[in-house]
Amino acid sequence: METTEAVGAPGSSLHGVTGKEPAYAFSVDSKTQLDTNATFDLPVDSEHKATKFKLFSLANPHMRTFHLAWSSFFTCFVSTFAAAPLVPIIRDDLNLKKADIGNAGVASVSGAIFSRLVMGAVCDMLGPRFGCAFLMMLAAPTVFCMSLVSNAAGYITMRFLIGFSLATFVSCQYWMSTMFNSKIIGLVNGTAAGWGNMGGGATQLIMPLVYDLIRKAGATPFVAWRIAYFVPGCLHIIMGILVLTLGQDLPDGNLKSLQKQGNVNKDKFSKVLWYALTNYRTWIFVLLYGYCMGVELTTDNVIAEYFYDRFDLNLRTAGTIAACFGMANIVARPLGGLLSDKGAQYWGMRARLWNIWILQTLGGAFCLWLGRANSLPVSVVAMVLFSICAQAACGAIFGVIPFISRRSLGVISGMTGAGGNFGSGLTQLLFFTSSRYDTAEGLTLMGIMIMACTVPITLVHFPQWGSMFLPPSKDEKRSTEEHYYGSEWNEEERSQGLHGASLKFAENSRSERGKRNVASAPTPPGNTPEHV
Amino acid sequence: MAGLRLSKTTIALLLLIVCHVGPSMAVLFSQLPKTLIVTATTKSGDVLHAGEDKFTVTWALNTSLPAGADANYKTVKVLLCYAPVSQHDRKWRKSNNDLKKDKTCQFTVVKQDYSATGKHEYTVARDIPTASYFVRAYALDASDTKVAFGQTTDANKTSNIFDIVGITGRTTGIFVSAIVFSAFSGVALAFFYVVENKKKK
Repeated sequence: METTEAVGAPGSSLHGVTGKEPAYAFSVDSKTQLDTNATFDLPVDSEHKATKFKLFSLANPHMRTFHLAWSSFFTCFVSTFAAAPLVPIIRDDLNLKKADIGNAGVASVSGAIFSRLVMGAVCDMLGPRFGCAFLMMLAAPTVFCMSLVSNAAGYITMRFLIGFSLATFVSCQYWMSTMFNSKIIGLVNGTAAGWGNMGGGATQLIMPLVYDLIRKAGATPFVAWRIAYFVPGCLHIIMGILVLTLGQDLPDGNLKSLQKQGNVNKDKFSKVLWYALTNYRTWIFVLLYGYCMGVELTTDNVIAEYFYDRFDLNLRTAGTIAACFGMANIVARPLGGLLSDKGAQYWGMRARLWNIWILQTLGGAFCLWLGRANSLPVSVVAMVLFSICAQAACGAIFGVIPFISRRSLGVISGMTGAGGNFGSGLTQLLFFTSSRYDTAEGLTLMGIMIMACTVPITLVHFPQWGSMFLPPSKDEKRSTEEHYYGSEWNEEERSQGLHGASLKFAENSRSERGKRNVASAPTPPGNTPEHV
Repeated sequence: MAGLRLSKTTIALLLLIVCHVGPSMAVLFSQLPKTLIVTATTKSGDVLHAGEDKFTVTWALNTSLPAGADANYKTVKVLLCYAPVSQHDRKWRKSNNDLKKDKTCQFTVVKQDYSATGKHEYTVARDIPTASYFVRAYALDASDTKVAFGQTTDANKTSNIFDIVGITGRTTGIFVSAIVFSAFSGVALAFFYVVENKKKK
């Protein structure tokens, strides 16, 4: 039952992304059947998916898969943002203008919007292992060819092509949903996403360091940055080969069964898409994610050059400071999810919405402060606070996404992710490409835009749980979770009983009423929310 | 009485802090006298290649100035400076009247002890980027503060601008390596895919 849904259903390649799946998405009860005959390093369920998560193990296949998947994603972040800390050198070598640098930044995040959609289909067809490896190995030439560019057009083109590799996010999440039981998939995928995003910070440390070493070995600046690009390129090849040799698609290593069941489409894609597009909450969250993940990607692109120019730092120092921004992901993103869960325990969904609004608005305020700061220490403090709030907001947003829709969860997750990249491209185009604003002004304006674009969350209203300012609906029929999730199916489908999973989900989601829930329908056993 | 003494100490402390920490008076370019006459063997529109071509820069104190005008000049620093066309849309090369923040001149041609006249033959360094340039010389006093200047171009920085073509850094070694590594990547992928498909059969 679970495998077919995990593999064939539209948007299934994004299962597990949201972090709330363990408790609600599948009909798993607390007495998950453990297969005690299996000889894996971790306890596994009947499909041989691991039910425990042992972080510092490399045991085949589950934990090994985890480490292969997140490090591939990490590598792609490193190569996509590798140019950012080296821009002060590249801009002189290629005679770039501000517009060229800005456009390249836009290009670097735009490619992934499309490649992510394709990757879902590739994973369904070839399996996540080949999907990941294909992308890593085919992206490697684009990274190497960056060393050969000689003008602005070449620079922009290569950054666009390298950016396609960010689709490893999809293969990473998909791969782990085949290896880990749904009870822990949220934690696993959340950790992997955060650690992968860290690559955007790590690259700001790695590239200047490699550049310095090559310079010390005697190369001129314009040769050194080109040689430095071989490092992420080789990482791509190494990771690709590791994935191909050490990885496997399923716990039992059997790709055939995956392909067989992959043809079973339990739901019509057109309907799934329709319910995603016509739910106004989808669009609000796309906008919101564009202004938390989007600004994170934007800042990864501009912050090193900003510190280099504004405070006359050398490349290594500017890179180290810039790295602090991306590296905060290791704690900040899970923190956002945790705050969301804690709030929901007491006050339900309304707390989750307020949590997002507070974190994201604070992030915008700190971004504004960063743009206005005139001294280095103040700038760094503002940047760190900005990074924590923005990344926590990302985690918090994915704490709410599973509740927007049960039927179209995959598509909505995918759209939200794409919204992040789109927001980044738009912001870089508006504020960091034209000569009208210098980077400090751009950051200030970005902060204001973040705060403005977070306001729409006040409009998100769930009839059964309320919104930021309004209580839940008093109407007896509309104030039930069943009504909300059932309304995604028409009469015909309901008479066929196709909405069974949605009803189960509705029952499980009653915890979003907060403490109020104690008085209403009893919570079914074994369905307490998992904390990411 | 105690209160008065305290405030005197405070004032003394403040003065001490201000004298040590307070910023030195900003040197403004607009206030620098143009006392040096600087010429270079490059002509307007010349194209020089980094690492190969040379030019000679000559500087001399303007003889029409009263004697002793150069009393505090201790060193001469000659720099290669970006012309406005190369500063356009590039805020990291922006001219600023406050010389501490000025980014017009980023490459040193020569720095030597001051004499009323001087010349230097300069081979364009290998790491000079492609752009349009002019030459400026600053006279520095004993504390390395700029006190006077001269430049090969006019006040609007439009005359006598020459171009330098930089070395791009795209060496043959890098070119070949990139091709080889890329090919390896594609071949390795194809190899693994084919082997795996054969195994399945």
